[in-house]
Amino acid sequence: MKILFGQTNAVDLDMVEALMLSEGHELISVSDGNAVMAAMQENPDMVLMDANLAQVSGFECCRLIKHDEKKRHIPVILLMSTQDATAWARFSECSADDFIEHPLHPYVIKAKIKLLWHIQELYHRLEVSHRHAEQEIRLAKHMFDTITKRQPKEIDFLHFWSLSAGHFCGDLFIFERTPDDHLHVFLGDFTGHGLSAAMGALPISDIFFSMTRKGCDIGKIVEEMNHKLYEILPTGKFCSATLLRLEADYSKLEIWNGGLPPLLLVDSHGKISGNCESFHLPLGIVDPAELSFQTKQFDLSGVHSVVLCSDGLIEAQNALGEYFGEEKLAQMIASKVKGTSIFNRIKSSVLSFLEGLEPHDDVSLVVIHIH
Amino acid sequence: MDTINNTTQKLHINVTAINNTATIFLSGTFSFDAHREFKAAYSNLLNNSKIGNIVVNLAAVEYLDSSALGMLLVMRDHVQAANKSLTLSSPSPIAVRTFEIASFDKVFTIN
Repeated sequence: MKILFGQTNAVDLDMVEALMLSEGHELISVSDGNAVMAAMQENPDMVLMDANLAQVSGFECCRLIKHDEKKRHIPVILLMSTQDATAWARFSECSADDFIEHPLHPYVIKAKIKLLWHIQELYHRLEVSHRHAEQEIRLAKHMFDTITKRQPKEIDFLHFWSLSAGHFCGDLFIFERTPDDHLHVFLGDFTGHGLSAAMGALPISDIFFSMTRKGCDIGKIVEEMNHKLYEILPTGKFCSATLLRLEADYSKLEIWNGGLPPLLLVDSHGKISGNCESFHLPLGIVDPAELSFQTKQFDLSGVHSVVLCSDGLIEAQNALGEYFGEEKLAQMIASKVKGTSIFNRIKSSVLSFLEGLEPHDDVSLVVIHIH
Repeated sequence: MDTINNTTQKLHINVTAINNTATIFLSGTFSFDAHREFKAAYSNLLNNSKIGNIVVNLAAVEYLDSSALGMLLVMRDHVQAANKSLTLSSPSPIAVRTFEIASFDKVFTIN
C-alpha cells in the first residue's frame, strides 16, 4: 500500500518510516500542506497527516481531498490533539475518516491503517457490485427500448405516460394493428424492476407482435403469453396485464384483464359509464389449463375515452403516506376543465400529488380517445 | 426505489401455534423489503411435523405490492410440497382489494 505521510517533526517521521518498512508499505513523506496536495497526484492509497501542517493545514488538505470527486474515497487520518474543542469541530467539518492522538504510537497507527483499509476494501467491493448492477440496468433498458421501437409510429388517439420507480419504467406498453386494422393494445406490469422485468417483456412482446400481425384473437394471444411466462418465470414472478382489441370502426372493445386495476369507459360528460375489473389471475402464475382466456366485450356507443392504468398509479403515495386511489382517479376524470384532456388531467394530478417524490412502483397511464 | 416513507414502515411478523395450526400475523408494509423475514417465518413451520395448517393473517397489513403476492405464491409452493394446508385469513381492506384485482381467490383459500 502507498501511504502519504504529512509530518511536522522528524521524530514522528523516523518512527513511521520504520513502521511502514516493517509492514511492507511504500511511504511518501512530505512536510507541509502544499506538498501534501502536490503528492496527491501520485495516487496514494491512504493519507496520514498532522492537522497542523504548515502553509495548508491538515484539516484544509482533507477538506480539499474530500471535495474532489476522484479522490474523496481515499481514507484520510489526521494526527491531532483531542483536548481541543475547535480541533474536533474542524475534524468533523473536513470529513476526515479517522484521527490519531499525539503522541504517536506505532500500534495505534497499525491498527487504524488496518481498520480503514478494511473499510476501503468493502467500499471497493460495493463499487464493483454497483457497476455490475448498473450494467444490468443498462442492458434491461436497452432490451425495453428495442421492444418498444418495434411498434408502429404513434397513433394520435392513443396516449401513454409513465413514471418510473427506478432507473427506467418496467411497465410494458405496446400496440399494433391486425391485418384487418383492428388495434391491439397491451399494458403489462411485471413483478420487480429492471432486468427481471425486461426478461419477461421480451417473449411477451414477441408473442404480441407476431400474433397480432397474423390477426389472432386476443384470447389466443393471452393464452400464449401465459404459457410462455409460466414456462420461463420462477414462482412468484408474474405479469399483471390487460390486453385489449379496439374494432377498426371503434364500435366495440374486447378486453382481457388479469391483475390490473379496472379499465374505465368514460362518456363525453366525464361520467364513468362502464368498467372492466380484473377477472383473471395475472400472467405466468398458473398452468395454461387453469387460466381462463375468456374476454369481455363492450359496446362503445356513447363512450368518449377509455382509461387504463397500472396499480402504481392507484397506489402512488405522497409525502404524507396517502394513496392516490381509485376515487381521486374518478374525480380527475369527471372534473371537466375547459381545454384540458382526461389524459393531461390525470397526469398532472398524479405529478402534483407526488410533489417530486419518486413513486415506489412504476406508474403507467393509457388513455384512448374514441371520438 | 425506496421513498422516504418506506423507511418508517416495516413488516412485523408474529407467529403463534395452537394444536396443529400455526398462524403468521403480518402487520405493516408487506413488500420485497420483508422477503427474508417472511420466508424465515414460514420456513421453520414447514419442517415441523406437528403443524398441519398454516394460516397467514393479513388483518393488520397496511400495504402490499405485487412482490408480496409473489412471496405468497412461493410460500404456497413450499407449503404444498410439505403436504400442509395454507389459508390467507382476515385480509385488511387494501389486501382484499389487491387479492380481488389479482383474482387470488382462484389459487388461495381466503377467509
